[in-house]
Parts: sequence; C-alpha cells; structure tokens
Amino acid sequence: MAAGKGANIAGAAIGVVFLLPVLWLGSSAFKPVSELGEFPPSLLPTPPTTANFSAAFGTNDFGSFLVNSLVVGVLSTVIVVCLGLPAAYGLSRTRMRGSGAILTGLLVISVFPVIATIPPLYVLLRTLGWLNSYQALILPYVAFNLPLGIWTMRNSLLPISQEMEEAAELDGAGTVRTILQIIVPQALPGIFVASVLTFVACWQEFLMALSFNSDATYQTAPVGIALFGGAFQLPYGTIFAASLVALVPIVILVLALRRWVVDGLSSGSVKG
Amino acid sequence: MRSRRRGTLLSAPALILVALVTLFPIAFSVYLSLSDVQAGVDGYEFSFTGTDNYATALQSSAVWRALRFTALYTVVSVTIEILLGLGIAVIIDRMTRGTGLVLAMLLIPWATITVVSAQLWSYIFNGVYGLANHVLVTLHIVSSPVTFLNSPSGAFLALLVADAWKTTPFVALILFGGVRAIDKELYSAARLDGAGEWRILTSITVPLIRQAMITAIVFRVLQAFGIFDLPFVLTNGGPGSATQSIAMLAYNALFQDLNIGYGAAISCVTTLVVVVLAVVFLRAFRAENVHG
Amino acid sequence: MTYIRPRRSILAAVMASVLGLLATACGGNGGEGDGGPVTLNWYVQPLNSTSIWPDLVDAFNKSHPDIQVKLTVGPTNVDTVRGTLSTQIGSGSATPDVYEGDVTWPAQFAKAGLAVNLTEVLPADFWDRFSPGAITLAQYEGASYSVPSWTEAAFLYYRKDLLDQAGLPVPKTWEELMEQAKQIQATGAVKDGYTWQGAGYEGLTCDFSEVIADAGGGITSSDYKKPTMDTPAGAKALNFLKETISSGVSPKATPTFQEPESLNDFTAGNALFMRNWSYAWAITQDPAQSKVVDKVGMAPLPTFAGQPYPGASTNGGGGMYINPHSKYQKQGITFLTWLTDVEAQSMFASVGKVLPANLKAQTPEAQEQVGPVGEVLAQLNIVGRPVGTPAYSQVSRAVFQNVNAALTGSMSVSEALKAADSEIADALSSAG
Repeated sequence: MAAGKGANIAGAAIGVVFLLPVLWLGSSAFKPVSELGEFPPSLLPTPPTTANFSAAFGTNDFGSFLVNSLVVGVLSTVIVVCLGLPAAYGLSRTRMRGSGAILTGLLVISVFPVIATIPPLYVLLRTLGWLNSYQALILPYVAFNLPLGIWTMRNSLLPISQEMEEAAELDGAGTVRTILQIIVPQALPGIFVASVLTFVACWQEFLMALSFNSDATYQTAPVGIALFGGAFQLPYGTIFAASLVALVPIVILVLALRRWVVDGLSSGSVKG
Repeated sequence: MRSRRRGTLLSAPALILVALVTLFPIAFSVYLSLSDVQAGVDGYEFSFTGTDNYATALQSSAVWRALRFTALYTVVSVTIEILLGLGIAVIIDRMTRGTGLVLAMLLIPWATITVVSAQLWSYIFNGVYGLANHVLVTLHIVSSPVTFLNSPSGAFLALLVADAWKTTPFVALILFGGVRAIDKELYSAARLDGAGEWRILTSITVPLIRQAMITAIVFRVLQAFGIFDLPFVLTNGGPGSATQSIAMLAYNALFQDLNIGYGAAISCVTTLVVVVLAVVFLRAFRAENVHG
Repeated sequence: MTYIRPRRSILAAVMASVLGLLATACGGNGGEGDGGPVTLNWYVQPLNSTSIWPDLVDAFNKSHPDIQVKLTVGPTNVDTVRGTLSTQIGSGSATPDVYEGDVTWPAQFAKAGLAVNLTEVLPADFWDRFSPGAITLAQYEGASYSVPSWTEAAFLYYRKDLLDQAGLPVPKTWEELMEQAKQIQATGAVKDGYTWQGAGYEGLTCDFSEVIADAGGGITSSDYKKPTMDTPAGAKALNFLKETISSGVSPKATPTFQEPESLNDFTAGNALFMRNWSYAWAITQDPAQSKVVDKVGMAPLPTFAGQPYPGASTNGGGGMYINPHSKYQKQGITFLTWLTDVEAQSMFASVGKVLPANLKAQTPEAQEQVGPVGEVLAQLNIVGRPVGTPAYSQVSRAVFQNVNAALTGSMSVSEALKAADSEIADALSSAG
C-alpha cells in the first residue's frame, strides 16, 4: 500500500483548503463594518461583534427568509419521498416496458437547466394565481427533485430480498401495507439519501425562487442573501451574518447524515 | 401481469407530476417563443409571430456572446473540476486515517448555498480590500491590489475559483465511488511489473472508473450550461457583458425587459443545446455499458 | 389574437385540477371588514440614512384614521427593484398599492400594464404643484404614470478645504477638474482625484448620459428612431471617462464602483471630487460615517471646455406609482395627494434633507434645511435619459454593458460604441 501517510497528509491539506473560505466567512461575520473594508484585512475580528447579526435579524428581518426556506424545503422533501418511494418500488420490482428509458430520462431531467422552464412556469403560475406563494416553489422543487429521489431510492431497493414482500403478500397484506411495513424500514438508507439531496437542492435553489416569489413574505434565504445591498455602507457584514446562520442547519444535517450522503453521491445516484 | 399493472400504478403519480411540471412546460415554452406575449392587467395576450423571436435572437450579438461565454465556461470549469476531482478521489482512496473527517470537510462547500458562495468570493476578490489581494501581495506575486472583476479574464477566473470550490467536492465524491471499488490487487500487480504512478492512474484507475467519470461529466456539463446564480451575484455578467450567461440573458429578457416571447426563445435555444449534449453523452454512456 | 383570462384557459384548468392535488389551497387575501381601517401597502427604496419614510407614514396614519399605510423598504439596486415589482405586479398582486419607481420606468410600466394612468384619475389642476419639467421628463405618450415626490439630480461634490488650501476655484470644465485632481493628488493630500460610478448597471447609463450631453450628443435621436452613440460626441464622452481611470485620477476599480463604493472612497477622505446624487449630502455630514464633515461643497457638474456651463445632470428621484390591481386605488390617490402637499413635502426637506418636488414647499427655509443642494439645484442643467421608449431597459443595458466593457479595456472605444449602437437599434426596432 503506497503512500498511506503521504496520502493522509495530502488529504488533510485538501480538506483544510476547502474549509478555509467558510472559516473566512465566519470570521468576517463577526467583524464590525469598519473593519470589513480594511486592507490588509485582519484575520480575526478585533473585537468580535454581533452587530451584523442584529442588523440581519433585527432591522432586515432575515429570519422570515429562513422560515420560508424551511417550509419550502421540508414540505418538498416530504412530498418527494411520499411520491418517489412508491414509484421507486414500482420501477424496481416490476419489469415495466420502457422502464430503462424512463430512468435515463429521469436522470436527464434532474439536471436540466432551470431556465428552460422559467418562462412557461411563470406564465402558468401567474394564470393560476400562484405566484408569490409557497406552492409556487414546492411544485417545481418536487418535480425537479423527484427524478433523482426515485433513482436513489430505487437503487437502494434493488438489493433487498423480495421474499419478505412475497410472504407478506401471501398473508394478504395490500400494497400500501407491504410498502409501509416491509419496504420502508429496509429502504431507510435510500430514503435518507433522497431526503438529504432534495433538501440541500431546495435550500440552495435561487433562479425559481427569484423569478416566482418577488414578495418578501414568500422569499427564501438565497434570494434574501442575493438581493441584500446597502447604499450607505458595505453590506458584507450583514450578508455574512445571515449566510452563516443559513449554513448552520444544512451543515448539521449533512454532517449528521454524512455516511448516507457520501454513499448516495459516490454510488447510489451513479450506478444505473 | 398484475405486478406490471401495479408497478405502473405506483409509478404513475410521480411520473405524471414530473412530466407535467418539466416536460409539458418545455413544450409550452416553444409556443411562447413563437408568440409576442403582452402582459395586460387581466391576463396575457398571445399573438403568433412565427419565428420572429428566434430571428432576433440569432441576429443578436449579445446572444452569441452569451452562448460563447457559457460554452467556454462549461468546457473549462468541467475540465478543471474533473481533473481536480480525480486527484482528490485517488488521494482519499489511499488515506489510511481520517478519511471520514476529510469527506466531511469536503461536504461543507458542496452544501453551501451558491449565492452565499458568490457573495463570499466577491468579497474575497474585491479589488480594494479583498483577501485574495492580500495573499497575492504578501506572496509578492503582485505589488498592489488587482481589480479582478475589472477584466474579462479576471472575472472568468473568479467565477472558476468559486465554482471549483463548490463543485469539485461533488465530482470527487462521485469519482471516489468508482475508485473505491477498484480491486487493489490490480495496483500491486502493476507495481510488481514496474509501472509508475502515472501509468497506474492512466492505465488502471481511469479506465475502470469511466462510468463514474461519464456520470460526473454529464451532471456537470448540464449544470454548468445552465449557470445563473454565480455570475448573477458575483460579476453581474460583467465587466461589460463578458460573463453574462445564456440563462442570465433569458432572465433579463423576461424580468427586466418584460419580453416573455423573446425570453422563451432564448431558453428554448438553451434547451436545444442541452438536449443535444445529453443525447451525445448518453450515447457514449450506453456504448460504454455495452463495451464494459 | 388570443386572449387568456385567469381561470378560463384550458391549460390553466388542466394544471389546476392535477396540481391542486398537491398544493394546499392558496391563502386568500382575507376580507377586510368594512368597519376597520384600510391597509395601504407602500413600497419604497431606501432614500438615505434619515428616518424620512417611517416619519411620513406616522404623520399620514395619525391624520387619516381610516387609512393605515404599511411601509416596505426594498433593496437599493434599481434594476433589482424593477425585477421585483414587475414580477409582483405582473402576477396580478394587489400589493403594493402604491410604489416608488424610477423615473426611467413610465414607458415600460405603462405598456406592460403595471401602472395606473394618473392623468386620467387625478384632476388637471393637481399637477400645478410641480414644475412642468418634472412632469414631462416622466411622461409616456403624453400621460403621467407617476407623481414626483422629491427632486433628485446628480451633483459634483468637492473637498472645499483642499481646493481653498490650493487656492483653486470649483472646476467648471472636465479638463479643469482633471488638472486640479492631478495637482492635489501629487501633493499626497488625497489618493484619488475623482470618484464616479463605472460598474455595469443603470448608474453608469446616468453618468454616461451626462458626459455625452456635455459633448453635444445623446444616446438616441430625440424621436427614439435611431441610436447615436457611435458619433464624435459619443467617442469624446467615452474617451474622457476612460481617461479619468487611465490617468490615475479615478481609482482603477472604478468599473466596479456603484454609489456606495464611490461614496465610501469620498467619505473616507480619499477623494477630491465625487459625482453623486443629493442623498449623499447627509451621509458626508454624518460624523459616524464620514471623515470629511464640514469639508465638503456641492456644485453643478462640469462640462467640456467650450460648452456652456453647467454640465448636464441626470434627474432621478422618487416617482410614486399606483398598482392597477390595487383594491384601494382611491385611498392610494388620497395618499399621493397628501404626500405631494405642502405639509408632507416640507418633511422631505426638514427630515429627509432632500429637496421637495412641490414648488410651494421649496421655500428658503427648506433650501437651508437641505444644505447646498437647495441652492445648487436651481442652477442645474437637467437632462433626461432616453426613457420615452418602452425598450428603455434594453437601451440602458446596451449603454452600460458596452461602456463598462470599454472602461475595463475588454473592448476598444470604437468597438464598444458600435456594439452599443447595434444593440440599441435592435431594442428600438423591437419596441416598434
């Protein structure tokens, strides 16, 4: 085994390099506004201040953007799992004609540029009177994340033995009960992967959020962070304070479910 | 028989929803792109104008400039990220301790909101007080702060760095899945035969993770071609319109100029390019499968 | 021509029935009882660091118990605000009822059905309270879609102390400004000579409109039929702007500067001259934000040698529009009438430190309250931007993107002017 120690050092260095910008964000969020414009910049805030956080959550009411992000992200994720799991089960257990083509098509849709659907969805949402609402985002988020969700959940279902399902079916259990009692417990890793991928995608999405919800009542965190600007002082302090808080939930979630995320990205979502 | 019907029933709701919200709008978009759409107080007025919007788009130097930028950006950023991602995947695979910790560190940029990353890098690349300038000045690479966002190449560089920071970990994790699965005996055997590290990488690792590579490339190419968030916040398409992506152009037509038909035409052009790319890549993917 | 009304199209019906399974019922607007006061949503942009907007709302709400105005202050970037408002009002939203919009929007907003034609709903004598110029600059096809609330224009800010020390007069030409800047920069008293707005955004269109007018030209012909950037005047204007940077008078980073960056440079004491709007005055005089309190003077912008002084200043300032979907248009008009009457207008001077639009409120007292703005404003040579075309946003983007490209050197001056002209021509022809 070559270079185990060398690889350990190189790997640690890579990790640190990728972490540094976030640390800079954290340090800057605690700097007073006057210090943010200094050159050369100070590495750590002297003294640290929470003024940026008061500006972000007091005067600029950034909390409501976070709440909107949570509502949209959680509901979209729940719907993706509820609709996607039966579909994944169906596609993994039955030899439907064209299921290969469907799966490939799904994979392509999941990475399709969002801008392609902005004009028609905007016109349709407006005609429905759904612009500036939670459903204006939940609906496209569910649709754009279902494909990858179905894909990852299907992959986690493939290796599961079918004997128990058949046994349950012989006992007279219906489809819904089979799914709930037999499939869900075994598919949990796949459900975790699908949930994390969906939630992270919703938490980050910007173009649809920007286009469909212009009323601050329904805007999500990325829009709040992107559009914040101050005419009178450098806006970075407030932006970074808000950003730091927006990062916390997603970082906790991703780190807590790290094993599944790594598995999902490195195998589940890839192997056809 | 019964099972097939059940499979269809179970899959139908999800598949119909996906089709309704993604495929059907794309078709509707084609109709919009062939119309002059006027937003009135009571609703929309559509008047059919044929291919006028496309003619305008194809004659517009702004559209060609945006297509050129987007294509160049896609090629350069994906190439860099695949190469870096491959290197990182190989290194992580060889680690004997702390793999989990490094993977965790890599997941953080991946999970960072793109807009946050764009704001952060715009601060780092600021021409007056940016950290990047401090580093370059300290290392004596430049004598006084550089205004990165002032030149097309500097702005391009800033976008590449920000993009690579956030998406290289994603690519590395996909490739890591492939590298991890390679039988390590193959490496030992090759070494016994006197193969060097480079030879092992090019003759064993890369061929064996081709499938993961193609998946990563398909994902990244399609994503990069739709790039919007990063230039919208980091460069605002500037300097001039040097970093204006095709998605930004469509957004401006839709929401600044309030010209829905023209915006739809530009987004249909994007769709067309992406579909062609996807077909080409998936062909390659399928050929690989048959081959392997 | 087909006409789709909400809830009538087949597409919509199909979408609604299928997608309705997914979404919860959308929240209605909630019936406002006849008994309680009406809530009028008012959307404005930040004006300056004063408390003018909330103070106006308090004063109005106290005197009008049956109408309660609710204030929303949006972002500062005017292009962002346009995107926000056009999407929201275009979506049929009944709020905001009254909104502040740029002077460049009437044509585009009128054409897209985003603003009420105020000439139709306000009595003819209402308009007597403003100077005729303030009205005509914001009209589209002879009708007004916005009501001016305060007067804004571009000024030259200068460091009184440094000019006095060097025994120099306030510059009347751009050539003189460059000379003085170099002279004082050479003494080390300031790092930068002149800061202005060169980033690729609406503000650059303003800056460029001024210098091209100083050079005797304009962005388009006055009938909006053809572009006139690629002309000797256009070349002179663009070459001058480039020279401010290449000569070291303006900071290298100018092509990334918007108002906050140029203002920061000036209030930090780094710059001798600044082009900015009148809102900046209050900030230069706020000790918490400025190192140059009591050291600043204001004057009209210079022009090129051989041209009549003063140089051109673009107009800005808040126009108030009414949302055509608003349920409370009558109350909105009551509010606008109050907002442009003497009492509220005097608050713009006393609290907001900006010059009111109502002529009767432009008293000597008000002039004193707003600082040098009041005195200088009357002397300005106001020029408009080419706002009479519904394609203004495209025209402006063609101007600022190409001028910005030339400033950064990624395009030559002649390439940039040619490109701007061809893009403006496209925009004008698409507007019909």
